Amino acid sequence: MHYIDCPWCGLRDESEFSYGGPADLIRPTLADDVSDQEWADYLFTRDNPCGEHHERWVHTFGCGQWLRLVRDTLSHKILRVDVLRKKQNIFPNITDERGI
Amino acid sequence: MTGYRLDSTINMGSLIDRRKSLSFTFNGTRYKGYEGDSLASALLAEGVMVAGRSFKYHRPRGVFAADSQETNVIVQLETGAITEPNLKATQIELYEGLVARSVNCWPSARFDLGALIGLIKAFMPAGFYYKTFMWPSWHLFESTIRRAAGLGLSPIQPDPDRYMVQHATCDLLVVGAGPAGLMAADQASALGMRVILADDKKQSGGSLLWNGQEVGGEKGQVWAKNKAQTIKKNLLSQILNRTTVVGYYDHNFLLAIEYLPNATGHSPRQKLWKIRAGHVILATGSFERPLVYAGNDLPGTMLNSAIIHYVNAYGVAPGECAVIFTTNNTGYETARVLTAMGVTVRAIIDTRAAVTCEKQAWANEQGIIIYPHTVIKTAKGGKAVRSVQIEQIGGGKCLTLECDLVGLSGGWNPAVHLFSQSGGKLEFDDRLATFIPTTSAQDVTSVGSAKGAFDLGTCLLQGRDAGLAAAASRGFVGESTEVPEFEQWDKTDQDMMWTVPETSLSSAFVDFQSDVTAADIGLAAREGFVSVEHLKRYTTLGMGVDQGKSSNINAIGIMGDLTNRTPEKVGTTKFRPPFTPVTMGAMAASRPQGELLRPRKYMPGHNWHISKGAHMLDYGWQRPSHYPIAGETMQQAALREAKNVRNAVGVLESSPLGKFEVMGADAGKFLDHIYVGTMSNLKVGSIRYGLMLNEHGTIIDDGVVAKLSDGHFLLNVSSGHADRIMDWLEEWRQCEWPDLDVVIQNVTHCWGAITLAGPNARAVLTALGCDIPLKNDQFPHMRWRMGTLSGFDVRIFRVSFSGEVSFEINIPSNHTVELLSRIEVEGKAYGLAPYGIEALDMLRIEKGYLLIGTDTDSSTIPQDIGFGRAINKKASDFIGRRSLKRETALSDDRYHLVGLMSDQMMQSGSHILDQNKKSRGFITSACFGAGVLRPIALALLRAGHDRMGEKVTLYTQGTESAATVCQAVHFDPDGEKLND
Ligand SMILES: [Zn+2]
Repeated sequence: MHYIDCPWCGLRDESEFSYGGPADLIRPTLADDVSDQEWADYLFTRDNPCGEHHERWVHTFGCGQWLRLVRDTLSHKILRVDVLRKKQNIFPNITDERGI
Repeated sequence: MTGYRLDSTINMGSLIDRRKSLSFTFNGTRYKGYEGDSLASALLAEGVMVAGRSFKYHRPRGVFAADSQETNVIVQLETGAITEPNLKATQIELYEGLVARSVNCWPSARFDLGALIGLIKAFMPAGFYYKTFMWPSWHLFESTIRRAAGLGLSPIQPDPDRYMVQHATCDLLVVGAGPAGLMAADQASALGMRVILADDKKQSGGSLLWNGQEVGGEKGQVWAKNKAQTIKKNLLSQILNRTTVVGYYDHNFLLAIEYLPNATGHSPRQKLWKIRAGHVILATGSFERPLVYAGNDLPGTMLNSAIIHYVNAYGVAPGECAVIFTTNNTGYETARVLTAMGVTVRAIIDTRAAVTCEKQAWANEQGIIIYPHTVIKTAKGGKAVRSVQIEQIGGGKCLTLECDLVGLSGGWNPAVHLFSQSGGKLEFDDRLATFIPTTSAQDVTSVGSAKGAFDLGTCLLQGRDAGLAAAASRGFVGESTEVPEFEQWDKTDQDMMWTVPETSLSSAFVDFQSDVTAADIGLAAREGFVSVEHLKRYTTLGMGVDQGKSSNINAIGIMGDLTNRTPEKVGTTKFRPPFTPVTMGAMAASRPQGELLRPRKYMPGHNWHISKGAHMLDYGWQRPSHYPIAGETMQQAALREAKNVRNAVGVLESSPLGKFEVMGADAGKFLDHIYVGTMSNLKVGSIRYGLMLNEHGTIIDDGVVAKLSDGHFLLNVSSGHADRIMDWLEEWRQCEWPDLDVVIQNVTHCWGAITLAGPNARAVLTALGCDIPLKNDQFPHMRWRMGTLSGFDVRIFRVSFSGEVSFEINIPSNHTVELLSRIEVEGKAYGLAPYGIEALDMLRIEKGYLLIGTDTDSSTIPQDIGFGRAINKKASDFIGRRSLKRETALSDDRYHLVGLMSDQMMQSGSHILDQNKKSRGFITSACFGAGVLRPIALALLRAGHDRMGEKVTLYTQGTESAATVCQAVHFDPDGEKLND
């Protein structure tokens, strides 16, 4: 069972949290006028990396806040926990890569 | 001959109390033992040699080990509701009146019909069942075969015992209270760490409790006791005895089961520990390896360590005339212990070529013959071993020795289970001929024989140092404790021997419990099941209750020899929790049960409804289904209540309706994203209906939104969906639109809600005294007003789920009952009566008001229920919008929500058939319409919107009937009553 360091509540058991999928999904808006394929990718296609994974968790039975975790899928080590505020500002390096 | 209890003048037995005699029943026979005995030691003392039968061939088996390694004597403890299957007799503490039965035996362990299978075992090699019963499906035969093979039985009554859970955190968890574990725990606790020391035995000491070694100039057992006392004196530390750590999970989270003796009445029988440790030290010890030769499973064959254990700890001699077979020095210690007790040791069969002069001299003195470079090739006997045939390695001298006890030691395997579970890597050590822990994946250290250190000195030193290091890593520093003097007993000088050369492999057992022989492993190798995971599944090796604690390493070694691979290359199977079997009761202890499993939700007016004769049911909340009078059925009562709403006025408590306040400058914009309808242009005092979709375009909820003031909205969501929708809104607010100025507050429980519906509803409000103008032109449908009612501050919403003029009154929860009572009094003159959920359902079906999740499913999109135009009108984006443009979403052949009319009552779930008797849809809701006074239904029908007026055939449970497709709104289609 993971031990997650909620920035608001401190170290808490995984059972207090819910997983919310990858953190880097970009939601196409109406204005983007995406194709069916692009929309399907947004809905269904997910990376499954071995190693660092950026993901969303919510502290369901705690503060109720959504968090952004960097977790190693191999060692299950949690490398970083951040408050999920603005997608743009939290991981500048990732922002650059993906051009968000 | 058999085992017996040693005379107390020779050996008291360090763990038993000979003053306290206990009686117990095993396989129907009464026996006696002493307090402190395990079931296995008591059986041995009573001379019970055949104490179990093997799983597949039902071969007779006797006690083999002395701890969790036991593979032969697996019992069903007690009977009836408290019975527990598949326990190892070696781990059961004897108590007065204990009743146990060995599994796999019918009708008895000594005479077993299943043993006939053993006679034809030549025809039943590994994989036999799977190969033979492949056609048409293994599963067809499985249950019969499993019953014949049978392990224990699970109780069929509910478990009357109680279990509890305890959460704990500590700086250091030490698993195993042997010499290494005690040193580690003592050191860490002396430096101020919060330490938990867990051990599966009744008392601390591990191997010191039975191996007779001295530490610090005193008996090992005494040294351990004192050490434990020191640790216990430290208030920050605790020792959990009778506690098995069974699982090692992520982030140093471990599960342990504590067995609580003498559980009576309401005291718990087991405690589940959930431990979060800063650091973990594994001092779990090691398991001795059997040797593999023909007939090695005959009762009377036992691990050398087990023999020492039974003699020293329980004062039991497992036999009268022993032959010791060993690849290492453990055999000599066994011979020494047995000789001291007056048990004849016929010979020591040592696989090693060189025997030291020291040993030779000692043996001469004792009159024991040592056969170096020799093996037992075959053991002979019926229900117990009678003789062994020994042979020099490479041929030569061959001899038969009579005996009733054979001691085996093929070396030692560290108990690496927990380390492996933690994600740590294992490595094969050639010198020790076994797998040892190497790289850790978490904050964990292995010490002592769990790390392959088989001599006492290293164990003590490693334990102390690991305690020091763990402390230092967490900032605890100070003096190191002293490592005591000790008696050296080197177990490391040894041979590697996986099978005895040239023995008959088909009766040389590797896994005793699952009856896997060396020949079976050979077969698996020939058939290509060379991967260790395949080997396990093909032969069932290591799949018994003992999980291969005695057999896995031998099997890996044999497979390596057969395929020219090192054991390292063959690798181990994945070690999985639990380390020993765990009862379901203990695992369930941390979950609420019975009434607490899902706490009931009560409305503020709960007792008022009961006083009105309501029949309460659970609709997610406890709510009145109906209010029967004078023997009415539910249908009769609901129809009466619904008619009363149509003709006079009804009162319903609707408090469970989800109520969320959404506030902030961007609240309107946020709601535009959430709902299909546009909410931002709503005027203060107005209410609008909206659908919520998920990103797939599926409708997940519907409800109304009221604008309370600028930047302040109140959402009503379905009572059953409220919690989920709250999470949903928060997720989008926080993750997708964090820049919007908006907050959401769930106020469901703050407000009681009372609905007055029917033509007389307005009159009842007037009679109660209301300062809000109520006439239709002043307070029309889909508006809300604030004011006082009967002196209470209220918000009144003119919304309807019945099709009648309807006022939904929101009042602070604590005033709900009082207002209900006043409504009842004032309403009497207007024919007011309460109505329940069943009546509400009839009213809403008739009006074509759909219930999300009942009249829609996970593929229903807004177009299907007639909301296509609302979408085209809306300019902005909303959740799920893009999915509504997919090809399938635009198809003409989708399931549309329609109404059905018929002369007969219809049933939800009925199929709607086409001419070819293919289903084209199904009924979602059906009832007798209280307003239209005929059977009606709502249905999802393919292309239903284009089929108005068509006659269709309904099909349910073998019968067909006719119906006509119509609009979903059966009652008051123009809304004249609603807008009255
Ligand atoms: Zn939190």
